[in-house]
Amino acid sequence: MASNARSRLVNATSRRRGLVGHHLAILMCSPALALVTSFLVVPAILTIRTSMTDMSLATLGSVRWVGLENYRRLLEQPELPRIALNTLAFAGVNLIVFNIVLPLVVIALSAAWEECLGRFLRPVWLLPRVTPSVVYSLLWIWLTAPAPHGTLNQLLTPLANGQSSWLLSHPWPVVITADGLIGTSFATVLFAAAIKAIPKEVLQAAQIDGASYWQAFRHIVLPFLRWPIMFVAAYQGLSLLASFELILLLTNGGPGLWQTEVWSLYGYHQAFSYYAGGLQMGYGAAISSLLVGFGALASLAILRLFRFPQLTAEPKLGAI
Amino acid sequence: MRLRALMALALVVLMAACGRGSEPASGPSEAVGQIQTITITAWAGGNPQTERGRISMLEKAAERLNAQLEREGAKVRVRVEGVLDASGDLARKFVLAAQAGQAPDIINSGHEDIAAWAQAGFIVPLDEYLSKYLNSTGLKDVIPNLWEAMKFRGSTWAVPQDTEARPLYFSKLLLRRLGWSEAEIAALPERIRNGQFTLYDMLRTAKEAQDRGVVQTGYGYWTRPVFGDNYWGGDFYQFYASFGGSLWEPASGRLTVDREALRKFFQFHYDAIFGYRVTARSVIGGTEWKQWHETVSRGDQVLFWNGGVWQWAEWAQCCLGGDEKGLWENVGFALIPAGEPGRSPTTLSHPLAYMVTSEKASGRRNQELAFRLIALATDPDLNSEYAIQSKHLAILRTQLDHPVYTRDRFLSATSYMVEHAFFLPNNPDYGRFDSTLGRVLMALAAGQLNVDQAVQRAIADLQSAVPGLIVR
Amino acid sequence: MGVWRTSGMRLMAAIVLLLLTAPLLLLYVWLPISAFAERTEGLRPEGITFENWRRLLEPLGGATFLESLARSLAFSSIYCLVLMLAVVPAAYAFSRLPLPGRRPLLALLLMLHAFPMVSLLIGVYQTLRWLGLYDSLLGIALIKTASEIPLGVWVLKGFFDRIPWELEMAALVDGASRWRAFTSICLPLARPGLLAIAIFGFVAGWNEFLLPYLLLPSTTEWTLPLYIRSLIADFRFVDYGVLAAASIIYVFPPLALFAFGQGILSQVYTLGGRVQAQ
Repeated sequence: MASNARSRLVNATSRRRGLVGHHLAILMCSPALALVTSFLVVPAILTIRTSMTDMSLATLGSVRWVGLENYRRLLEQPELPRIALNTLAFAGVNLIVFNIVLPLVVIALSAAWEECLGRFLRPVWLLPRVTPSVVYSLLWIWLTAPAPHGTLNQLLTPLANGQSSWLLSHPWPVVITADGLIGTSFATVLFAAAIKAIPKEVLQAAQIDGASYWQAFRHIVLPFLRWPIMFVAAYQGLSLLASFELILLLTNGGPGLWQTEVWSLYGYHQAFSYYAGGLQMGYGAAISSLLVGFGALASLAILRLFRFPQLTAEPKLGAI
Repeated sequence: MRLRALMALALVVLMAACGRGSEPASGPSEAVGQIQTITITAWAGGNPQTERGRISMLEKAAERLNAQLEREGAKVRVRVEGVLDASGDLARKFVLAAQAGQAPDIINSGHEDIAAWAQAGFIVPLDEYLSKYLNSTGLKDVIPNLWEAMKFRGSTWAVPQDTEARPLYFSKLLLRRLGWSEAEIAALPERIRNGQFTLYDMLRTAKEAQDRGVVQTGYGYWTRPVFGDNYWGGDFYQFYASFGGSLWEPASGRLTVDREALRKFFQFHYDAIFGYRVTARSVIGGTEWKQWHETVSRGDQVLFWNGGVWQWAEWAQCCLGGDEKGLWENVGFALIPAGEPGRSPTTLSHPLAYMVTSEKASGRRNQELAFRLIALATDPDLNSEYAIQSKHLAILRTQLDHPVYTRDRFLSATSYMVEHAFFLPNNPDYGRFDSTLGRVLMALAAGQLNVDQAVQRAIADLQSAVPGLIVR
Repeated sequence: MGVWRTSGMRLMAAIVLLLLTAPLLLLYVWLPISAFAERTEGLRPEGITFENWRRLLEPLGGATFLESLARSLAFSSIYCLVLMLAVVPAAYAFSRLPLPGRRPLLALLLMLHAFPMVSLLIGVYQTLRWLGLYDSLLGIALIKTASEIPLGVWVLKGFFDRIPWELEMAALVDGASRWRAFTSICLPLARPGLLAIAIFGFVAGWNEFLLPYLLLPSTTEWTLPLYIRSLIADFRFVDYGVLAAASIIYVFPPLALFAFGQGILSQVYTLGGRVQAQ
């Protein structure tokens, strides 16, 4: 039967108009591939190439090739361990607390009030994601400003001396919280959808069997969440390693010596900061290239982890 | 079929709506009969409420230039398209644009940018044009020592547009509350000028005010606010100069750092923040400009603070409804006191200047016309009007007697400060010097380093960041 | 999940939830308060006024608010369109067609997602310069499209994979061309996915700040985030009331889009519904 259908199909090809198979595939992919090549692959190559020159404000008239000099200089910087640690800590804490634990907590709690409270809270939790970074950072600056302007200080004045800016005296908690809340909404939606997909009978069976809330969570819900959690860890983890826009707007890497400086911000500062960096594009490119390299390796590992071949099974009707 | 049409339409709309923001190679010019109108683009940075003159002076100069061109029988006229950029990012925007060949014809910026931009080939030396046009325009009238700040490697690269001084402001109102008599208050600027009232006298007075409850803790002495990206060391280095330190050696052009002065400079800030506790930590690390302006200009919150003469105009605008009366009643100003007995008071003067961009940077060949515009904008009438609006100091000798200028009480009262002023270096590495030193200062202010560590760290970092640094 | 036993536990859950949400509420409630006040101290307004909204319409010296708003709308719409035009055919090709080098290309796309555009800014700046697209919104649109394509293709491919191929096969047997099958069968069925990508695209274009900030020095071609940024610029006295008013208008479109499209978007997050239980 199948072979009959197939031969009918093959016979039908001779009557078909238009492009077929390979040609159509290439044509349909071309805009995307052209864009990606021109604006992702080429810049990546250019960045790596620039990292091996001494391009900076001081040398714009006469850029020279310096090989691995920038990398050597980078590895000698005393602040490098601090910056690397900042990056890992920022990504790690953000990921675990705000992208995994908090969404799970929110979902668990709001399950009790799904209809009324859930409906109200979801848009609120969505706000950080849709607020543009310039506004979002300003909101946080205002929230943590010293009295009399800052909201937190205004509310907590009876308890504490409202003299200092929270952002200044506790930069990391504020930065991680602000950035974390953006990711929370993403993970919440993902986990909620995954949980909705759990067949009700399984949960009901557990309830009938007298399983406690915690047992039900551990043995039934969590396994269903394995894939979304892994996905969030991979996707958000990689994004966080390279994100710096909000840190730039909130603390600009300070206060003081590299306190909240992360790797990608360091690269940006060296390359694009006129006064602080002298527009050292070569050096900044070296910093960025290392990050890009690390990201590439990490994503290769993730591809392995997610069993890539399974996700890319050959399409049906491929030969036609 | 439909899809293809849709795609074509989309492409057309895309091209139309997202047009390029720059202009083609020779600049737009319309030929009206035989006469061509060339558009000269100019960028300047500044406060839109008080410093718009930086652009409008050029626009007025264009009218005069066109009159001159008509007399000469030339076939061109000019039109100025100026942008006043309030973002604080002008220097970076300029460099990125210049590299892309899309810089404006005229750029107005701090003179310390000359070194890097000249080295990169973005601006042109002006000696040739100066010799041609010096005597026929206001250029011959420029106060001589201002030209020193425009020189780099033997050539002159810019024309001064304004200058200023950065005084120590004090609250007369609070000093009165502290028990000072009117005579004592009036004598303070003179005492500072004679070196009789030093930086530590200031800190002690501030501490006294705090102890007696005249000001809140941390409000005794306020530095310039630093928030996020806006660190700019010039103001702070006045205190380094007060202890005898110098930033460069003009003869050789090399940057310098004096160990002893550096130590005392760090010690002073350390004492202000942690010793006498008259400077709140949030000022030097976490206060946004508007909050700073609002607080100091009230005159009843902060006892001493360090700012700029142009801020007098800004305070009148932002916080006092356009009226200077309140300022005169409550606020006084003086030089930055000497660091210790035997030294001299000082102040920083940071002239802004007009520069002409090279063809490589702008893609155009309007250099001479641009220079003529600048020369005509350097005029006592135009500049005096700008000076009193923005409270900047005179750049021309004839301004000092100009009726518009002399009418301004504030400018007359502060013009003596320029005699004690120093300029920032014209060295391509100054930016990195500044930010490296600034980072250490910020760390000291945040309590991450003590004074000894700061000195060691600063010298080490500076030596690796600045080639050719002289450490004395 | 319905495993909450007692109403006492339910109440506690509600309290904890509200406590967790409180910072967000505190953060955002300042916006409307400030938009209608002359100045605020913390959350306390001083002087209720509509002045801020009127001042919003005054020119700043660069592009005006309305111009920036219009430009943001145009930019986001066109960006969204370009993204769709690139992503939709490519996703179909990966899903259904015999693409040479299919598997390496898919792997490459996934890896490229790990290349954050922000790390490539130096190379991007040079590329734009070379193409003559520095200081143009078109250049920025193209860059942004490139950085969103990898994820877009993967997600939409997931949607196409779910469509039963028998439907297409039937059409092909009847003599339709591949393209025809694509447009009249696949596309309609993938509508939720298309809508989701469109919403994401629009919001991404609407929110984009860093790229125009760095690569668009012109002051007359501002999009709304640049306009808002200019309100808090170094040399300007920040008018927080006007800033709040502008921000409220700015936050509204993405919020509305996300709120309405929630159901669809949750499907997107699960890669077209392929939540694999292990």
